[in-house]
Amino acid sequence: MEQVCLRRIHNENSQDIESFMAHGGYAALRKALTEMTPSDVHEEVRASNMGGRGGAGFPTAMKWNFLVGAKGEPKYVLCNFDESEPGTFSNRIIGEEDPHLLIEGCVLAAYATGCSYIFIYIRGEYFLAYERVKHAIEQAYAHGFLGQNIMGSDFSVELYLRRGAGAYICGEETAIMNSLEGKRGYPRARPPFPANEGLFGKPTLINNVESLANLPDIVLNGGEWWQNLGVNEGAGLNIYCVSGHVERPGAYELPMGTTARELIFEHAGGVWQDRELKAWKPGGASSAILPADMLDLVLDFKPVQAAGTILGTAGVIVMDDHTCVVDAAIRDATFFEEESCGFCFPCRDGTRVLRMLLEQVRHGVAPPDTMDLIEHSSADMMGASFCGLGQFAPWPVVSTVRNFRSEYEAHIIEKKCPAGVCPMDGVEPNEHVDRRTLQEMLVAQKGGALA
Amino acid sequence: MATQSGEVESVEAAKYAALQVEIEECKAEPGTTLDMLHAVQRQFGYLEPRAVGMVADALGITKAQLYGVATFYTMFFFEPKPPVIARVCVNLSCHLRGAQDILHTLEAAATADRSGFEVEEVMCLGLCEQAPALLVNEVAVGQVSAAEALERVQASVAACNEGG
Ligand SMILES: Cc1cc2nc3c(=O)[nH]c(=O)nc-3n(C[C@H](O)[C@H](O)[C@H](O)COP(=O)(O)O)c2cc1C
Ligand code: SF4
Ligand code: FES
Repeated sequence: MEQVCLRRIHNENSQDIESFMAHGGYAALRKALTEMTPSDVHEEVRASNMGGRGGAGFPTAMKWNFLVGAKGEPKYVLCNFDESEPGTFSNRIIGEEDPHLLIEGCVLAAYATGCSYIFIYIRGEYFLAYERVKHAIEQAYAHGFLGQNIMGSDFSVELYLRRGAGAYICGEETAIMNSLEGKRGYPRARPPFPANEGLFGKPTLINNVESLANLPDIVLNGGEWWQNLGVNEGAGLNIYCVSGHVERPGAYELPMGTTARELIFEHAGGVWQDRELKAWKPGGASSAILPADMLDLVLDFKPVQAAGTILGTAGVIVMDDHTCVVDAAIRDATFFEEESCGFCFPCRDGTRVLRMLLEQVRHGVAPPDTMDLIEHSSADMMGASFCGLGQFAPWPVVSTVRNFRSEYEAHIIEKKCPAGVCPMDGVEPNEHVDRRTLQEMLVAQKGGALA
Repeated sequence: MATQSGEVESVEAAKYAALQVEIEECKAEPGTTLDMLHAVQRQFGYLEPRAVGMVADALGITKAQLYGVATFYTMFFFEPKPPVIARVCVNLSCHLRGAQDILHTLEAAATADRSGFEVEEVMCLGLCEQAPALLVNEVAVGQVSAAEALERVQASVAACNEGG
């Protein structure tokens, strides 16, 4: 099967420049700098029809348009290597095993959009990937693939590698800029958009590691070739990360548009220990928890959105029939409560409210109106949170209420956990649980509305 | 005694000097605030106050402003730590494969006398295909039982003790 981003990772010393170049590395950059204008490169990306791999699927070529038209110098490429979405690890594998592919992609993006500086912002916990990328940058400078007059052309670019320090929100496209500027990683209001006023107030192109890593092949083989690698109307290949209760967890680079059934059962070896599938998630913590009967869903941005959730990072998490969905939902709820940056009320308080409500369900002390309250709080958060974190945080919770209603009824009414996982001990959480909706809380506090 | 405390002082002085060199290098490039703080933590094991002051001076901001930034991020420590930190992921993929066992086993061992390590519950480490996963200092450890995880942590503690 065709591979693009993960083609070289099993080669000996794949992270080394010699190995990379022996397997066709930096040939795309040579081609771009000697045979193509920046707009030729842009044109191939347009033909590829690639949607960004950072979660939103925004068309990469369109994002590049904004930058080409933006005023201000210098312009920056910001490579988003913050990868912190639970269930997602494709960027880490590229950084650890094929860091030069990422560098080549970054330089191609800079060339096409007229940027003279590249920043790679990598999450602080990726120690090995950091070392590998750092070493690769030194090698790339030594070989003249970075710096002044690259490969004898009149194109020059500097690349800086920067480390985060533990904060999921710093993957959000404006928070990452604040973090790089040495501030707390709060998101910024948009507009102004990063393409006009981004890092240090200058036009900034922000792309995900995997988006950038696809560029060399798009340039070498053409955008149309790349687009045709997809199936079911999908464009190109996509790295699906599979984890949880499967026989073979791992990163699978497959045609965009592969179904969940094929991914989980053919590639990831099916549910472990010969158990049945109970639930799964298409795209990390921020996506809904779906029932087994939705397995034929096509895993591409649009079809997953049409099904009421998001493909996000394509971090597919699989749960077997011994799993309790309330117990699963509370893990995601805890994640968002921990990672909420605290900047806005609906998310700061809402993430805590949702986790506390689930805590009551787990302990068998949830009042009968709990499911309604989860629906209300979720709607308030989705509508009024300042950034994507708070807007998507309720999905794992509210989706379990909708898709696995009988399990909630068992916990709340019969005081039983059907999977036998939850403590159901009748113990009230030792924190106060506010049973008002977020809207009511805010009105009581400030006399104002949420949004 | 006098020579011993003299040695300690010179070791400390060397750390500040090495840090100053790193700070100067960082200062020459844009966007390096967090890198400077990482450098402090590498030298001292935590954000040692005098060293934080050196970074603040280099950036031309107050220590209070810099602490305001540093406290936003979970990887920075504000008090001295044992030589080994075990960061155990407790998110969904790891939870499904036994993260709680690892957490409880390590926590029980860490509270024992002179264990030499500390356990942190952390959010997804991006090692989900190796679940259950943890970081022992900077090293990723995955697909382990609770007992194996504890062995890895104790081996790391032993290595630190030998190293001085
Ligand atoms: C809370 C939050 C966290 C995010 N984290 C990441 C991340 O870690 N990596 C990433 O590439 N994009 C992340 N994104 C998406 C970015 O905002 C942005 O859309 C993306 O980096 C753009 O790159 P792309 O167009 O190549 O997908 C996050 C978004 C939100 C709302
Ligand atoms: S939605 Fe959450 S993460 Fe986003 S700004 Fe508000 S508090 Fe911060
Ligand atoms: S969920 Fe544990 S490493 Fe991702």
